Amino acid sequence: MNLPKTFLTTTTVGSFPKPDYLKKARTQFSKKEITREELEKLEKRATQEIIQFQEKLGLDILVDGEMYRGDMATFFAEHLTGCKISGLVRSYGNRYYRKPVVIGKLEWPGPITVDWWKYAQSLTHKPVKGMLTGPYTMMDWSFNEYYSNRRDTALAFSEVIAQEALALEKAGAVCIQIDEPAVSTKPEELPLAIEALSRVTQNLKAKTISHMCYGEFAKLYPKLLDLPVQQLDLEMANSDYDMIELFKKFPFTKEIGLGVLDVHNHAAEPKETIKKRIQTIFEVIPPERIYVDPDCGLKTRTLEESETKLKNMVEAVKELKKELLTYA
Amino acid sequence: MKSSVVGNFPKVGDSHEQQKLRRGIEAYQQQKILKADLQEIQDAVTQQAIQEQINAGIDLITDGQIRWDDPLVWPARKFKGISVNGLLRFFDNNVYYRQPVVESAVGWIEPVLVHDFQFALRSVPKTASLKVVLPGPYTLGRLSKNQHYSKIEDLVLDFARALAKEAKALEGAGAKFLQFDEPSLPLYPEDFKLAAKAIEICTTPLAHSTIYVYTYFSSLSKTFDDLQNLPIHGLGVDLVSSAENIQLLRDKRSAKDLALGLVDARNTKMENEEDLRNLLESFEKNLDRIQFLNPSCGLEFLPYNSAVKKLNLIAGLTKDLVSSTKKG
Repeated sequence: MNLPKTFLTTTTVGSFPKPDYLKKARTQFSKKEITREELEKLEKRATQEIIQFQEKLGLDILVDGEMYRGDMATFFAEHLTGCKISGLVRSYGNRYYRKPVVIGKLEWPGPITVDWWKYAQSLTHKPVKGMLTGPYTMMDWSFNEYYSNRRDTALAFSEVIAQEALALEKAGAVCIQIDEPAVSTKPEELPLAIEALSRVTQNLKAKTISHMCYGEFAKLYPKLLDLPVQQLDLEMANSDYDMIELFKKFPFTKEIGLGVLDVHNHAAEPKETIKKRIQTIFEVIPPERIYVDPDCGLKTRTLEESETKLKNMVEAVKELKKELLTYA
Repeated sequence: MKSSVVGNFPKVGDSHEQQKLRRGIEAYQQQKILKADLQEIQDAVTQQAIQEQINAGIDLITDGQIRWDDPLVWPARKFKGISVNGLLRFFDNNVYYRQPVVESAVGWIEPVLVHDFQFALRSVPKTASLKVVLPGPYTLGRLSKNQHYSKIEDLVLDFARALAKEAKALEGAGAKFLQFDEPSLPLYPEDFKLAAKAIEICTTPLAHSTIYVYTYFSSLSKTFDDLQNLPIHGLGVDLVSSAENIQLLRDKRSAKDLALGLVDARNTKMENEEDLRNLLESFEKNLDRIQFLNPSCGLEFLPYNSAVKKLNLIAGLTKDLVSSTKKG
């Protein structure tokens, strides 16, 4: 499996909305009304459907849709030795979630996402990204009752996530995304995030991506470019491409995953708007280093909303590619 | 020396009974119950939050802010000129709030918190006192999306005028202890004069209330000296989020009374009581200034059971200290 040798490659950030039958089954499972096997059967069905959905849309690099995951940090913590899961805490409004609690030495129990990745990849000839949560974010979003400080906790997470990343690569993943949305919240800890992530990516040959969103990236730039990954996937539509002025001042030297769809807005962006958004970035980054995707995971949108948004995105890219080749 | 809390208390716990507010809000949103039904649930959960504080032995309690949709800015939604926007991260937490949008001149229409205060007051036994928490004017200005004023100064001062009326209404309803939360203030030391002017506007109409300003989440190293000149009785200082604040209280004498955020309200790990005693003893210059011991911030960042444990720790430590001082 090779990555497409092209430009303006289209992809998505990771999550897709869970179908109603899966939401219902997850609730039933939490009440012990159905077995893990019964739930897993439906998670597989939903994964298969979301792979077909992406293929039909014509996306270049696919994701497994995270049908088997709840919260992006808690999912990993559920599997790691040394972690337990907290009681409910509020995320916002009437939304609650459970957080990881580090209660002992963190250890990797063996592959966590590899079987899911293998399953998703078996359903398509297009590359499927391996998806992990980065060590800094795991640390920042967990309660810590074991390690003496934030650095030790982040580095302990990096050891276990590095093993998971290597297992994904060994299984055949050519592209591994390690999300670090918490990086933008404490600019003074960027060196720690870089140190922790480097322990995950240092031995990988696969393409490495890190996704970030909803933070003040301006405070981190250009130091953000020191994150040891080949591609930074940034939410840009929601923040109206305000980073471009900074890119003019300090060149963006990596590949960019360019967020062109606002995932918190129900309305689908028209094709022309998306084209303009992509063209805006041409001024500072050449097309071969631009990957086009939504701002963030699509799990908060409906499948219909996701479809319209992505359809417009793929169409916009198609037209732009044609125009670029015509005028080349 | 007395024990207190900073503001909010978890709205839901893990048991079915402890999740009635979550279910109630959902049912109300789906128009399955009436507003009066939801209010009845909010009343019951407020009484429960008060009871937890009383059971632990907290001296100065709050109503737990059970009706608040977010950790801080919720009361501003009821001001003239304000609508509500999308979600934003609440400081460096993995917690979000709906951003107030300033569409026209901000003004006070009618009491926002008076009913909640009066309800809570009826549930507080004589052994404890009740304080009311308000967002500070500067922080409200910083956390809002300003689409009306040409300068943030004008926005902050109008927020201050609206909050002054709210504070006056609360005092008129019997509030004796008012707290303004200003977590944004230490982050913008260059705006201190503006923040001070705004706080003065809030406090001027108050005739007999005890007034505290609480800062949390960050270092006061750049604002500690200026904070001493505010027209308030006391300062809430977070000793957990910033080691610099510990050093400040070792090095400098505070002209204001102090409420110390001693226990980590963002981590489930329980503190050692002996360590806390030693820490307090290190504030030789300020021992007579310490009026309250409390968690570092609102307890809603913690799961319910952990929040209760932290309440017990703070109340127990305060009682032990008071009794050993009496014996000594």
